[in-house]
Amino acid sequence: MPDETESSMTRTYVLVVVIEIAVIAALWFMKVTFSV
Amino acid sequence: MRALDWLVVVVYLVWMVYDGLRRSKDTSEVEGYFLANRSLPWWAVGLSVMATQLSAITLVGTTGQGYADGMRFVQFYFGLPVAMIILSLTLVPFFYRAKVFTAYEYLERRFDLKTRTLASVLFLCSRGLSCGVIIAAPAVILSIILGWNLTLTILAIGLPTAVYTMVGGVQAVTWTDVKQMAVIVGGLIAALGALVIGLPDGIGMSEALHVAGAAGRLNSVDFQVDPRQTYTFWSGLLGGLFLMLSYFGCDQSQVQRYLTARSVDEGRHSLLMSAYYKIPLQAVVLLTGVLVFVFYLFNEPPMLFNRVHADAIERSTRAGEFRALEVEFNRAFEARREAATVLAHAPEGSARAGAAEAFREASSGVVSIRSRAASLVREVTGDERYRDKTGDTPVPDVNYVFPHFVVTRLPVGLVGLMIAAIFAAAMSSIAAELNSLATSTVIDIYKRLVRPAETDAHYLVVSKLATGLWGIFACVVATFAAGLGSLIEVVNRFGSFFYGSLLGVFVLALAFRRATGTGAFVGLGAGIAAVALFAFHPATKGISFLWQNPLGVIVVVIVGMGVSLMTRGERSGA
Repeated sequence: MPDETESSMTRTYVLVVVIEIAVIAALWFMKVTFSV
Repeated sequence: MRALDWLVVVVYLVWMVYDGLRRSKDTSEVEGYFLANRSLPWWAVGLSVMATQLSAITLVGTTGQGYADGMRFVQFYFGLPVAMIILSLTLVPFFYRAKVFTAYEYLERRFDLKTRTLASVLFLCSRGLSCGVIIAAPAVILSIILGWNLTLTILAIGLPTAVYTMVGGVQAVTWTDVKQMAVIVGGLIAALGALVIGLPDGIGMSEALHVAGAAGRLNSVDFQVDPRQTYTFWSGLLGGLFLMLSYFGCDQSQVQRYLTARSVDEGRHSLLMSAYYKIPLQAVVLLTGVLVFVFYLFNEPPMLFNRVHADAIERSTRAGEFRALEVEFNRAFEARREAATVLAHAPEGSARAGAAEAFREASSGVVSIRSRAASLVREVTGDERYRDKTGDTPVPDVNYVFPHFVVTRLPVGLVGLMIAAIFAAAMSSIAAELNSLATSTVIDIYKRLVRPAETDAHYLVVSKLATGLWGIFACVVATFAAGLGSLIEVVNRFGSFFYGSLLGVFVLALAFRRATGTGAFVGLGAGIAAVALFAFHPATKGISFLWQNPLGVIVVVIVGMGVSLMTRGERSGA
């Protein structure tokens, strides 16, 4: 794989952050949905 | 274990050794042996990074955590994705372009030989000992649960790993890691499937999760700002960030994984694979533990999962007390099962809230009897670890929950697959550690300090010998550590003292041009001392260990810069 452009790597980093927020939100949603 | 389970475990071991040994043809030079000539694809390196981090004690301990304390441990990994981005922007391109074999090699270029040697020796001491612990911990559990001979179990885990790592070098480590990750994930999926199928009639995943929620097992995101709570959103995001930066950026066992990648970007993508998948994977491992908890609400668990102590009491003069407790435990379990069944079928609203309250009351009866059993164990055996609890389970019981479930409840064949998965988790971490220990021994110590002018063929022979010797050392340490629970804690603590401080030295190297070698050297010592004091001082002892890492970084930077300014005549800003 040739080295990617900085903008392409930046998009990847943003995607990592977005996915982390989504995963934490999903865990939070599971906690709230099933808490009694 | 039945014949089919044995067959699965033996096939797994033969497959790994065969696969590792056949990689030897690509390792005729030191760079090929330690770095695969920087030729590996990102996805294989990424899986190797994940397999190295996931040791057997992580697999078994995390499912136990899920059973005892629910999902909260997942927060430990919240800093990991951000750490991977920071490393992809800083250390990965830096190490790759510097063409170093070890992270510590860079410290000599930037500072001086003594800083490099101190960092390398600290790594060798902590990782050498921890490699023994990584073998000992699962060996003790498997030998107790399956009745195997402890020494033979240690050798069954340690020797095949040492042999294929010694012969095949980093190629063997990486390609076996790929297959070991497949075995681990396959085993987990099979265990999850068996748990879902094993739920009683009329109770599906939704009902199971409602019961788990009522027991506080789904508390995966906790925004409390309390430094004494080990796992919160904040301790995971900030404390965990520093720990992950240090582990993936300064620990040779991980640095060496991404140095084998074909290019800087392939190295970056290999780390970012963990950024994408680590939290979901850990959530699945913890959820497996939570479902084991739900399983044992409807199927009677043993009063204590670690049978060694239970058996010791049954042979003692207080056996009668223990049996009486078991009768009480059976009654309390039945009451809790009824309460859990009512809760699972309760309609939403006040009926469910009332059923949840009744369930929690019934659960407290079970927990109280377990606590009395733990006190009895402590009084009879003198094992003080029974004083502490993880969630509502005695600490020494936590690591036995999942293996006990596997061998007593999974169908034939799946038991073998899960035991193979535990072996895979142990072997993947051990192989990476042996490989990195040998690299640092040869590159940072032998080649730099002992015999600097030998041929590549000479260093290759020494590298293979070093790998084999570290393998033998790890098995010997494992044999001693297995009988000393407290030694395992000491080794783990020693590693945590060193992580934040080592990260501090790299921060000094990269971000402070005026930092000098003496500053870095003194700062590293001061950081380790400060973290040790913080960990043992009565005023700070109870604070989550995750905060030790930022502390180490701060102390190293402040002391390091202070000393650097006083020793300005030295070389700096290389």
